[in-house]
Amino acid sequence: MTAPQSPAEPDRPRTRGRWAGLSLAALWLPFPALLWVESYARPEPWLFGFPLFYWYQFAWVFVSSALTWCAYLHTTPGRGAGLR
Amino acid sequence: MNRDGVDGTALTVLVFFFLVVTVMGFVSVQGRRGRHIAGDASALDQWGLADRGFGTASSWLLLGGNIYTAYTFIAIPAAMYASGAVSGFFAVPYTILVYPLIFMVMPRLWSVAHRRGYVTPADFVRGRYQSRGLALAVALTGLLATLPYIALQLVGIQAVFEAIGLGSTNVLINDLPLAAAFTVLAAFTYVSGLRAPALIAVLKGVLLLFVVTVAFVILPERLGGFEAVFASAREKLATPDPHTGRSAGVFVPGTAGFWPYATLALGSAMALMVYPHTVTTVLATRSRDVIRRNAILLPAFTLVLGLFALLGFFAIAAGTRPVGMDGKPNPQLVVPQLFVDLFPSWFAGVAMATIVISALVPAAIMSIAAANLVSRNIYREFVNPDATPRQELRVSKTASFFVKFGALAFVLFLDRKFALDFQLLGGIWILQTFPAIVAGLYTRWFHPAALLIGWTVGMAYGTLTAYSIVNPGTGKHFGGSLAEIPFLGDGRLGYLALTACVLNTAVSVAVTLVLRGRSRPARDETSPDDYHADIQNGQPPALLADDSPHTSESSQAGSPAGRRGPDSTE
Repeated sequence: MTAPQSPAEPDRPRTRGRWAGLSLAALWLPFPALLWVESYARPEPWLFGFPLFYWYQFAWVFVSSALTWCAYLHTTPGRGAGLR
Repeated sequence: MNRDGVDGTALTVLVFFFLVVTVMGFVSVQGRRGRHIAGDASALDQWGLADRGFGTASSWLLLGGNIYTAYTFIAIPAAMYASGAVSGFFAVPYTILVYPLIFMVMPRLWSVAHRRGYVTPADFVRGRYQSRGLALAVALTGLLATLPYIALQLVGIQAVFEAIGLGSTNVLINDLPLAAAFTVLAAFTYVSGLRAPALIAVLKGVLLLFVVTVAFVILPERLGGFEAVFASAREKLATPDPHTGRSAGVFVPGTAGFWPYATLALGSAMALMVYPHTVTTVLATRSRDVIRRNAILLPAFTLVLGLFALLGFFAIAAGTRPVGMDGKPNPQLVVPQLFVDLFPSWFAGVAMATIVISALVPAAIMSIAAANLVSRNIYREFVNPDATPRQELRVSKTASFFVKFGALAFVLFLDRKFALDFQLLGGIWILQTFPAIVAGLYTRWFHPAALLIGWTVGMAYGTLTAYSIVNPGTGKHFGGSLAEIPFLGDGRLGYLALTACVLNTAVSVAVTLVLRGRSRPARDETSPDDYHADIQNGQPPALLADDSPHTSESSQAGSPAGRRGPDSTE
C-alpha cells in the first residue's frame, strides 16, 4: 500500500536473469492471498479437522517461506545449490 | 490452582529456570569481542549490537525471541478465547507477511547502517535527510512506542504468577516477584548488553518448541480431536453476548470482518519493521545474507504462534475458567490456567517458565533499543555533541535501566488498562515513522519537512481517533484499534494505524510537491551503493567505508562511532 519503489534508482545490482526477477515478483504472492480475506473466510472444506479459514493460513506459512527461499536462491550469486 | 494457594512443584520449576536465566544473563558478557570492528571506538556497537556479529542460527533465535513476545503468547490466545478470529488470528497472516517485507527491505537498512555506523533507525533518518527535527521525531516515537511494549511483557509475567497462585491481596507482596524478576533482568542487561537476551533466546526457543509439541501431542486427543475443538469454539463464539445481544465472537470472519482482518495483518507487519527493537536485532546480524536467510527460517515461529493461538479454542473446549486473584474473570489468564488445569504440575511449571522467559528476551532487547535512541539521538544530538563513545555507552546503559523501571512503574502504579491503551497507541504511532524510514531506504524524493508534517498529521489523527473510540461495554475511551476508514463512505472499519499511515504518506507527498520547487533539497550523507554494501573478503563494510570514493564529508561520517565529531581518539 505504502511500499515505496523508486524506478529512478538502480536497485538490486546482484539480481540476474529472468528467474531472479520472477522469484522476486513471486514474493508478493502472499499479500493478495492473505489480504483478500473473503476468498478463504469460510469453514468448508475441512482438512485434518481444521476449517478452511485456519488450515489455509497455516498452509501459507509454508508456501511463503518456500517462495522466499526461491527468491533467495535466485538472487544470491555463487550459491545456487542451497542453503549453507 | 489459584485460590487454593501456591502450586509448589510448578513454582520450584519456575524458580529453577529463572536461576538458569540469571546465570546465562551474566555469563553471556564474554562474547566474541571485537571480531569485526576492533577498538574502543565501537563501545556502543559492542554492548548494544553485540559487535554486529550474529550468524544465521543466533539471529534466528534472537529475532524469533524478539518478534514473538510473551504478550503475544498470552494475548493472542486470550483474544481467540474471548472474541475469536478477527482480534486474535490476524497475528498469523501478520507474521507471514512481515518476512517477504523483511527480505526485500531490511538488507538495505543493514548495508547503509554498516557503512555509516548507524545504530538506531533515527540515526539513519538523520544521515539520509540531514534533518534533526525528523530524526528527533522518529526517536521520540520509537521511545514512546517501546515503553508500553515493555510494560506489556510484565503484564504477561503477572498473568503467570497469578495462575500458579503466586500473589496476595497485599499489594506489596503481590508485586514483589515481578519487581525481583525485573531487577535481575535490568542488572544483566546493564552488564551484558544484547548478548544476554541472545543467549537466553536459545533457551526460549528450545522451551517454546518443547511446550508446543507436548501440548499438541496431548491436548487434541484429550479434548476429542481438532474437529471437536473447533466445533465447541464455533458454538461458544456464536452464543449471544448478554450485554450487546450480538454473538460474542467470530469463528470465521463475516463480511464486516474482512477489512479489519486484512488491515490489522498488513499494518502490524509494516509496523514491526520499524519498531526500534526489530531494527536493533537486524543490525546485530553479521551480513545481509543472514537477514535474508532468516526471512526464510523465521516463519517456523509463526507456526508456533498459530498453534498457541489455537490454545484459546482448546481452552473453550476444555471449559477453562480464567479467574484472577480478585475473583473476576480475566481472559488474559486463559493460557496459564489451561496448562495448570490440564497438565501435571511440573509441566505446567515448564510452560509458565517458557512464558516468563519469553517476556524477558524482548523486554531486554526493547530496553536496549530504547536506550540507544536516548544516547544516540537525544544525548549525542542535543546534549553533548562531542560525546566520546565511552560517554555514549554509559548513557545507553543507564537509560536501559531507567527505561525498564519506567515500564515497571507503569505496571505497578498505574492501571493495567492504561498500559494496554498506551500499547495500542504505540502501534499507531510507530507506523507513522514508516514513510520516513522505509521510503528513505529507496528514495530521497521526499522532502524532510514534508515527512515531518506528514508524521505530525498521522500522529494527531491516530491519537485523536483512538481517543474517540469508546468501548460499548465499559464506556471508556481507547476502546480498540479499529476505526471507520474515511472517504470510503460505507462505514468500513480498518486498522487505525494503517489509515493514519496512508494519510501521513498522502500529506508527505503533497507537501513535497509544494516544497520541491522552492527550497533546495538538503544534503544526503549516504550514497546509492551504501544500500547494497556487503561483507567483502571477510572485511566488514564499516571498515571499507573510509576508502570509499565519496566526499570528505561522507568519509568522516563513515567511521562507525565518530559520526560527526573528532572523538574517535578515545
